[in-house]
Amino acid sequence: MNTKDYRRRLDTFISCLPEEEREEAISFYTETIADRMDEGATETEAVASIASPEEAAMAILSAKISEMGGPNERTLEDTLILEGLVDAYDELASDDVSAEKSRGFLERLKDRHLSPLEWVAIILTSPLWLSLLVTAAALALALVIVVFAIYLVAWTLIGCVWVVGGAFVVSSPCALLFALWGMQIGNGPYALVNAGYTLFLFGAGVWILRGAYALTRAFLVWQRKNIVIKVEGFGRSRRAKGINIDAEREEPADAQGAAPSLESQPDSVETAEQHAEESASQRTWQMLFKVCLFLLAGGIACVLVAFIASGFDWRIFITSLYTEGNVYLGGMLVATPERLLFSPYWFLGR
Amino acid sequence: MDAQLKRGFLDACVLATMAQGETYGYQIIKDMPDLIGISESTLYPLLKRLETRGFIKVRKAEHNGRLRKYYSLTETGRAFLADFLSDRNEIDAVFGFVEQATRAM
Repeated sequence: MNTKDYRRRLDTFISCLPEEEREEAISFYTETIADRMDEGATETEAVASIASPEEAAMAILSAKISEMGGPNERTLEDTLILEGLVDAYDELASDDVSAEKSRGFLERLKDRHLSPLEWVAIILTSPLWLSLLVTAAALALALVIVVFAIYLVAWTLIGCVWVVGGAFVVSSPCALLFALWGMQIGNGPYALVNAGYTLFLFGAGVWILRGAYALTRAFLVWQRKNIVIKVEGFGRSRRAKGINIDAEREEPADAQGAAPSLESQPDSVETAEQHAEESASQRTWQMLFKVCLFLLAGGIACVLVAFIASGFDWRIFITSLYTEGNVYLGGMLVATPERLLFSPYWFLGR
Repeated sequence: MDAQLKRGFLDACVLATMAQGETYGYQIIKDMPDLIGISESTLYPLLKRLETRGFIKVRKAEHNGRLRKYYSLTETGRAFLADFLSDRNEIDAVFGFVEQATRAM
């Protein structure tokens, strides 16, 4: 590992700290590497003789954690910072501390010089490992595509619910127009059926949209909780126990234990403040949903009543705007369709 | 030496390396007594803590075409060292007590 690698690795491990502090810490370690090189050590030797980036990061983080005040002196922001620090520390502590194991395969390969014989062996066996490598890559790609496809399908389904809900609400005024036409031509049951449709489509549409919203939210929450974390944690499957660090290990554990008790306080204050504001708009929505439920039920009732009133005549459900050049509404021939309200025959110039 | 005990002496030893004038990170590590011994990962947070408590002051200066941080004692730092030394009698008394008590063992 050279100075640049060291810098980069240390920077990643303490990425939860502000830029200024990261720079300060990194410059301290690079300074001591440079001092060792001034004394005649090679860069690799100098880097190897100081603490690994993991150990350095753990010492910095644990010092920072014990620096944070007790639970009573902390603001909510401090608590969040502390949680970040503890998380970063625990991640380092749970990973293997020895630098060699946690380093990537390619990184290790870069440091190692291959002998000519090894190069020959690598080239000669290439038909074997190259094909295996390609297969593995293809499998990985296929897996990624499948996962992505499932993800896409899930979103498409949610999108469909939105579209269906939207279509219901939008088509509700069309049904209202048919109801008006029914009244114009004096076909009562047909007008009532379509008035029922109007109510039903609007009420049901709003409820479907509400469901779509809930689904979208739930999926977004699930996605943030699972997918992002899994991607982040992908490279950290190596676990090792029994780390030994001379910095204060008790304190981070202490701080972590104290954090939850503090959290509950500011949380409850915040919700109390937002409560009044939220409940007003929430009540409006609740009211709308309740009204829509009545519309939905009323719509169904209208259709049933119309069906009974027509003497169970199925034709009242039929709207035919062009059957052999004629317009039929609920089984009745419309003699002058151009007279209908907003009639399409105005434009067709019948 | 016991790690717990060692920790108490670390601050004093690091401050003592600055008694003869300003010094820098790697020099401190070399100057530390073998018995105590310190690594960069312990020294860095320790120096930061000493600076926050006002025991040392830091100055950046160029050296070999790069920046190096130099650390030196403040008055508070000197006072801390004087206090540390004056504690010696008490520490001796503690050792004396433990020694006497365990003699009969």
